[in-house]
Amino acid sequence: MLHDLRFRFRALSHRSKVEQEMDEELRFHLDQLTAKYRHRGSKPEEAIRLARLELGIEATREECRDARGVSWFEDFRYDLRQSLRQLGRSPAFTLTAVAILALGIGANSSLYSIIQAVLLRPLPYPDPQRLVSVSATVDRQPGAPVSPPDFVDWQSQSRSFESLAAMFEGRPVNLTGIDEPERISVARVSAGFFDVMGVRPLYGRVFSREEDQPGATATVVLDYDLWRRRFASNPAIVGTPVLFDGRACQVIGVMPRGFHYPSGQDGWIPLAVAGMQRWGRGAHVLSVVGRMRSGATIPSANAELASLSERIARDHPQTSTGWGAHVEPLRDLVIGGSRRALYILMAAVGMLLLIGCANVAGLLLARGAARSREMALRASLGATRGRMLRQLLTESLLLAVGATLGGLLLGNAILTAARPLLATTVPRADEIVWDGGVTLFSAALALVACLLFGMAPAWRTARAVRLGEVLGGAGRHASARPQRILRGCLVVAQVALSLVLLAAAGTLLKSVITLLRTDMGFDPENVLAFRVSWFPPAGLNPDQYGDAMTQFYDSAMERLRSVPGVESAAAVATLPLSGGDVYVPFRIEGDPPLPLGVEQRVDQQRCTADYFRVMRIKLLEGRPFDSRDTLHSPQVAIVNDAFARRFLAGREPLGQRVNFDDGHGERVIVGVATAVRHRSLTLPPRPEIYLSESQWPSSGMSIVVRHSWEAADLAESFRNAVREAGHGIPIAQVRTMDSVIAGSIAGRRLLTLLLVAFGAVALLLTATGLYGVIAYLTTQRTQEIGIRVALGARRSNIVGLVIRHSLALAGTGAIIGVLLYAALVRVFEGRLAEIRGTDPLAIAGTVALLLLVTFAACARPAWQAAKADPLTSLRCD
Amino acid sequence: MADRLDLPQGTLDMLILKALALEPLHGWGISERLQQISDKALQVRQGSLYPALHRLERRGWIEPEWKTTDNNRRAKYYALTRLGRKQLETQASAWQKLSAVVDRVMKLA
Repeated sequence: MLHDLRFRFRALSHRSKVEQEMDEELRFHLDQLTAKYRHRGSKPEEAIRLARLELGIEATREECRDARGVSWFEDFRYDLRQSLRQLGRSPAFTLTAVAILALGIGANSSLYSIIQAVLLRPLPYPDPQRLVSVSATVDRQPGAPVSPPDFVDWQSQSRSFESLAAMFEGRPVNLTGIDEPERISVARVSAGFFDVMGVRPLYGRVFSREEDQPGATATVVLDYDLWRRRFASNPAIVGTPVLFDGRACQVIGVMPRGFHYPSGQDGWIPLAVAGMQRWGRGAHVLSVVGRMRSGATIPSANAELASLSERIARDHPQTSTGWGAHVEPLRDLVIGGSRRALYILMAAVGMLLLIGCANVAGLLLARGAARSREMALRASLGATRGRMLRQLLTESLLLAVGATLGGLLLGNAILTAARPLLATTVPRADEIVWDGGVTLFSAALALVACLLFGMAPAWRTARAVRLGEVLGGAGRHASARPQRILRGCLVVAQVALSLVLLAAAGTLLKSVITLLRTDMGFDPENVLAFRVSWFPPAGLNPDQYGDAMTQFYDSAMERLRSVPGVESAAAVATLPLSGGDVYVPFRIEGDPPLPLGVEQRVDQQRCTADYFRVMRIKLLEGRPFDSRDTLHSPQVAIVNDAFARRFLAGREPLGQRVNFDDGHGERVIVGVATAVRHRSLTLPPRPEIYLSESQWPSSGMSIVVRHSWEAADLAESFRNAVREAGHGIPIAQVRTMDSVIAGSIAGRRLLTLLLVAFGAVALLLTATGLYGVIAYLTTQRTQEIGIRVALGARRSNIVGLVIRHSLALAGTGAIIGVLLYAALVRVFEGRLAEIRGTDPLAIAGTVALLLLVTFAACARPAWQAAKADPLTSLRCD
Repeated sequence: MADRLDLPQGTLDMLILKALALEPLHGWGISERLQQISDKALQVRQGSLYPALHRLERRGWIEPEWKTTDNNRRAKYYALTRLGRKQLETQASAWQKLSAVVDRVMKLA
């Protein structure tokens, strides 16, 4: 045994020496044999021939290697050397193949790194499988916010949760008292929130139940990034006050780096849910997260909350009939709709890689055809088919290794480049990393790809062809047919897959264009928007806040209008298409009372007088808000036409009175405006009601400014105007209205952009693949074409012949592609909101594009075939 | 040459060991020796001789040594090791028993 190992070791470590010795040994034998034949009277050449025939050098060497037990490794080394030489001899082929595969692998790997972080990895909190989100259900539809009394009941009565916490939408505050005031946003969370998440602060502590009460001293826990940016990472900040809207707020802790839940917040302040109880059970405003007790499951928690909801509905039929609760893993809430988009993208890059593999397989086949002589020669020298197969697959493996390295570089580059985009379109973007798992995935993918693109061509190329056939030229024809069929199939597959990609991209593109073209009810062009939050100056009596706010906004509008280039300016509580809408119950005076459990709600807006002018929202009836509407004049409202149709059918809207039960009494409708797509570009406008800012002031507003020309530093002028209007109040998020609209469909736009890019790459690859096959076929048929021309065929006939052939390939691929796409859409019907149905126009466009590319790809081969001299082509073989 | 015999599986190794029992030989010498002893009845396929030699060497039954031949050429000579000599004895006695048994069965049947 020991000897065996030593022998094998020597055979491996002194490989070349052992090989050399073996060759010398065999040569000695051959010489002796030759001498023997000569001795018997053969001529020298004849003797050599006979000796070689008897010994069979190549096969013997092979068997000796086997006997030494090292042949596998040795063959591999040999193949490796041979393959490197072969690939180095045709750098154009090598580079093309590696580039195509690297593109596929890079795209797949970078997407995998995203999917791994977003979809596969558990949330970065302790025992993440126990974290859930609880939403309210209306008629069994989950996803609605929870009312404060319901939350308190769940919290005190349910047994499924270790802790349950509520969150209210982020509160915009102005961080003041430091050199440059800044508008930030803090999350309002209940005291149990940090227990639920299971995260301890980096410095200090989090708030207690006592601090989470109305009237308690104001406290804040800072986000790591804000602490680093504005407080120079100074731990001594803990225990000192900061100024929020000019009022002291005690910093009690700093959360560790990377803790960003809910995302986009700069800190956490107590929610004081006890103070919200008077809002009632109809006020669905809270998000609820919970940590399940160990042993509790999602179904058991759901069952418990269902019975709890029933009890609440029995006790409070007026407000709670039809409402329930729904528990789901927190991860599902965090991931949201991005799961679908990511899977669509993964399918797309998967197809891209498949197309790349088919393409490279085509290249390898073409190369194989050119190497048939080499293969036949090796076969006649005793190399088996398996041996040659291995040699060819080694070449593929080398390509795959190159592609992996390229793919790693490219994938990393893609990820780095995409990071800023990802941060705004994908949840958990800060968790996306390129780790060992991704690298492993790339390598595994390359291996699979290697088999995919390498196997068939290697099998074809390594088939046993008799040397005579190849040398005589006959082999070329003997092998041409299966070769042609295989390459044709590869091209058809590429065309079909490209079509699927392009059809999906086309459908999406059309939907985005349609969306951007829809009449939104307002004119976003030349409108800039930014956010402002008013806060009271020191020493102001709270009774005067309302007037002070209105004064501030009036004065700010005044100053903004005097900025050069500005036509008009107005303020609105929530900007269209940017979320955060207010949805409130109301009734119309004189209407019969609603049946039990039925609620009537409407989107509520607050704006200043000029809002309709700035946004160019048409008033159909009545008047806009104006200086007549003050805190002390009769309360007025403007409704949109959707509201008039839905709630005031057949009645004259002007003069009707609505009541929100908000302590402001009833409001008279003084105008009717065109409906605006406020919530979403994809949904038709909803009923909406506008209130005047001057009658119900609001501290946080968005300001919209219509300008006639783009002056330099408009944003800076706005900043100065607002600062002067009110004791240094800052502005934030200056954007064009167009970008607000684009932002509302950012995810869909990015998905479209990526799919179009992938489709373009796929098309390019397919075109080169098609070109390769057509060019090969025309060369193959040179003789036939020569005969045809000699027999009087015209050039146009020849061109037609080539084009017919190309169209047959592309057409077959296109038909398969359309069927495949239709099948995929059918399978995923309803699950993919982004790609719904088969848009005939988009598909027709895609097919047309493909045919165009087909013509482009076969133009050169067709032309060359047509101008070929019949005499030369007949002499070709 | 018509009555040339094919070697049963495994016997080539034993014959090589036997040929080397007298003196170290190179591959060519072994093939010539086997032909000569068997009076040309045994024809070792040239191609299978060398793999067998390498296999025996790997097992440590024979040991190579590069030496110069009579007409001054370098050749790889193989010599029996102690392990190989023991192996030859085992195999030879096993073979004798087996051939005797086979012989008897063939005669009786």
